[in-house]
Parts: sequence; structure tokens; C-alpha cells
Amino acid sequence: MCLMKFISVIMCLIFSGIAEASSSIQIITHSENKQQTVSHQGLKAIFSMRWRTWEDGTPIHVFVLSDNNKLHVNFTKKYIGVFPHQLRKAWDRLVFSGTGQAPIQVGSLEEMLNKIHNTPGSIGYITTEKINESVKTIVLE
Amino acid sequence: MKVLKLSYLNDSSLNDWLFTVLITVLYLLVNISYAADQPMWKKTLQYHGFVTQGLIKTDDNHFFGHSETGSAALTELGVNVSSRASKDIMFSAQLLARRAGEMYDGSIELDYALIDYTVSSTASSQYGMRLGRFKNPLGLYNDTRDVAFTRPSVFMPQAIYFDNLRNAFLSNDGLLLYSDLWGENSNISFQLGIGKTPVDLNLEYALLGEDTAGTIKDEDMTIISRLLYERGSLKLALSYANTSLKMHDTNQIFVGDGVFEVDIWIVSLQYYHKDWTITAEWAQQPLTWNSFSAFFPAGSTGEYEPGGYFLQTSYQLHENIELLLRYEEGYADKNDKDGIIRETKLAAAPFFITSPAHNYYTNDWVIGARWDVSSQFMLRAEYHSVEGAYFLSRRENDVATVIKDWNLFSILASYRF
Repeated sequence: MCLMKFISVIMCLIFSGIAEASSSIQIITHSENKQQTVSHQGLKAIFSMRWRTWEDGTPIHVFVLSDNNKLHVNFTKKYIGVFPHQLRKAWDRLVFSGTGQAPIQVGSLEEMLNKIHNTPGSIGYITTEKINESVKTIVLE
Repeated sequence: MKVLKLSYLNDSSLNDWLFTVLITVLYLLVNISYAADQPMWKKTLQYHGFVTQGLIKTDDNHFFGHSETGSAALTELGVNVSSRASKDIMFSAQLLARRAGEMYDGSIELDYALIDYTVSSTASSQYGMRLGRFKNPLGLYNDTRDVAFTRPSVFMPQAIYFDNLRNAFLSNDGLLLYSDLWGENSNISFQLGIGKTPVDLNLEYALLGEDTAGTIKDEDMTIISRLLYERGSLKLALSYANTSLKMHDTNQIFVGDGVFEVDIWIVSLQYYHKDWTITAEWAQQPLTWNSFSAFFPAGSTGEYEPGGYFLQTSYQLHENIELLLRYEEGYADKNDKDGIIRETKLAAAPFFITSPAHNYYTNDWVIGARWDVSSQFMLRAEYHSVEGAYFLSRRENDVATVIKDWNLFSILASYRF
């Protein structure tokens, strides 16, 4: 009985771990952004800091979590197709050659929501559980 | 201003020109701020910088200082600022202080200062132009070669990014057009720049072997271009630049007011798969000269074709540790890869010059490791086993006595913000 309990606890831990790791990521933007959808390539261009203006002319403001944050790692691997250190190098090349800017780094999911809510033209990402109506999700085409 | 000792600012036309750029930036800052509670330029203002210190030890020869006894003469300090004045205008500038052996003394230089105007920006393309002093987009690394975090090793692969000629292809004062197209799984970018190259004394040592009485100036417009194609994890690039450098006011009969015409072609390839990255670059730099004195040791007119390549593989051992293996080969003339023709020619010059053949080529095996202690702090260690002295600066070494086979060990620490 005790063993069963132990196994179920372990199973529970394992599955919750998996659930957390793969908990779906949502791309979020300012609630007044006219852009409803973005292509996969467009998203890559935004987070590589190359595409700088939404289609209606509003400047894009990119927000990210720190390089070693789990959600950031999952996001860059899944949506951008690179490791965080590769993305960081790409930003460094822009920043130190004067040809682009770095994204703004936030310290927590709460700060992410807050910044996205308060910055017109913003884009970032969040876990499904944390999302609320202060921001809008962008649909990936 | 005197304290800062800004290089190149003594040229009056350039000075006026940079002043105009600065005034334009200020005008933009004041007038084209975004209609919001906080002006756009303030909201998007960013500061970044880096500090790098390297230590170098060689068993023979001098590389970045008196490395035989141990040198600390590799220091790089950079600070930059950037901001977007409106949706299509960005400005950026960086100051750089670089100490590199006898080649650079650490005085502050204006690394770049530019206005970037985006002409068109869509979900799949971007076109625009940059006006001011811009870094030359040549090969995979040239525009951020002085930033330890973005270059592949402590020292740039010298076969392509020859430190002696760093200055000839580093930056330009002029206009650069850029276009960027991104599709399903690929990206094509093209850049074309035209401008004047700010030239320093290292070029005289690299091209003439000494500091002559005159100065070298960029006579005609320099052209720089790069076509880059990315598909998945494959990156291919073709770069080309052309510059013409003229000697001025030379009163030495062995030189004369000659002209150098330098081209550079670089083919670059990079491919990554999981934790492996393979990088290869090949370069050819046809160099012709004319109108030199009849006593000029290399002849009043002539041509060489310096070039080289490197093959590099890096492996991400751990998320913070990267290992590096590289082989590189460079030569002063494609038609004289072992340097023997040059040695013979110089020995027969009007005034006999002793310069052994190994001054005109280098083969270098490199192993190295990089440890990213945090996202802001990085350490590196590197070992080179070298044959030949072509990569060495004439400012630091006497060509007659350089040793053919030598080894180099180096460590580096870098912090960025």
C-alpha cells in the first residue's frame, strides 16, 4: 500500500513536471494591436530583432525572459528554432554593430503581463495559465 | 575633446561631416518624438557595453605585445547607445578603446555613429539605409570582431580577419543600403555600402613594412557588399570590398607617392546541427600597386594576391561550455605560398633586405574552450601551434629574426552589459 502510494506520488511528480515543461505557450501582444496573426517566419524575424514595425506602422517592442528561464528556453527552441545562447549572439551582433537593438528583458511572468499591457506595439509570451484579459493573444499562421 | 583623443577627427572635412550628422540626430530627437506620454526616443533608449582583458604568452615572436615574457596588451572597452526616434528612424553610436600590442594604444575611437532609416518594413521584408560611420559587413564576423562575445575565439582567424589590415576593412564613413527578405524557412539579405575608409598607421606597416614619412589616405570611394543566404541551419555568404589607398607627401626616395588598390573577396559557410557548428571561410585579396619610386624594394608597380582560409568546428559540451578546433592557413601571395620567391626578390633589391620566406605564410592549429560563467561574464582559453610569421605585425617584430615555428597560449575574460 505504502509502495503504491510512493509510486503514485512519483508518477504524479513526473507527470506534473512534463505538464509544466510542455504547458502551452501563448504569444501575447498589446490589447489594441491591430495585428491578429503572424506567420512563423514573421515571429522568428520579430524575436531575432529584424522586423521592427507592425503592418499598420506601429513600432514593435519585444519583451523576453532571461536566457536561462525555462519558459524562454522552451519558447526559443519551439518557435524560433535555436538555443537561447544562439539568439543572444544574434542580438549581440546587432547591438554591437549599431544595426539593431536588444529586446527588453523582464524578471517575471507578472512583469511580462504588465509590460505587454502597458506598451502599445508590444509582443511577448506567457504560459496559458497565467494569461488574462489585459493582453491579447496573437495567432500563429 | 583633447582628453578623449578621438582618432580621425583631425581631418577637417570629416569633422564637419560628423558634426552635421550629430546635429541631425539632435534635431530628430527634439522634433520627431512619438506622440505619447513618454517620447519614443526615451522609451527605446538603450546602453550596452563590454570590457575584455586577455593575457598572451608565446615561446617565440611577439603577438599583441611582448608575449615572449607574457603580455596583457589585449584590452577592449566599448560603450554604445541606440534609440529609435520614430517608427522608421534609429540612431546608434559606439566608442571603442582598444589596446592591441604595438598596434593600438587604447585611445578612444569613434567605432560607429549612424542614422538608420527604414524605407519599408513588412512581415516578409525590410529595406533601408544607414548614413554615417558604419561597420563593414564582411564575412561572418567583421562588424563585431572587437567584441569577445561574438567572435569565435580569443583572436580572430587571421587568415581572413588579418589584424594588421583590420583598419583597412573595419568601417566606412558613407552610406549603406540594406535589404532583408525572409520566406518560409529561408532568409536573404544584401548590403551595399560606399564611403571613405578611416586609415591608421598600421596600414603603413602592413603594406610598406615601416612607418614612412608620408601618410596613407583613402583616395577614391570604398565599396563594400555582402550577400547572405540562410536556409534552416545553413548560412552562406559572399562578400566583396574594394579600396584604393594613396601615399601622400612621401619624401623618402624608396617609397614615392604610390597607390595601392586592394580588393577583398570572402566566401563564408556555416552549418549547425544540434551541438555542432561547422564554419569555413575563404578569402582572396588581390593587391596591386603603381606609381611608386624606382627604388621601392617591391618594384614601382606590381601585384600580389594574399589570401587564406580557415576550417572551424565548435561543440557545445554543456549549455555553458563550448569547445573549439580550427585550422587556418594564410599567405602573402597565392603564387608564392611558401614565400621563397619573395625572399629571393627582397634579397636582390637595391638595398639588400633580409626577410626569410616564413614571413610570407602561416599555418595555425587552434584548440580552445569558452565558458559562459553567466550571460554577462565569459572566460576563454586557447592554444595555437603556428608555423610561419605572416600573421605577425611588423610593428612588433623584426622580419630578419622572427622564428618560423612558435606556440601561443592565451586566456581572456570578458564582461558585457
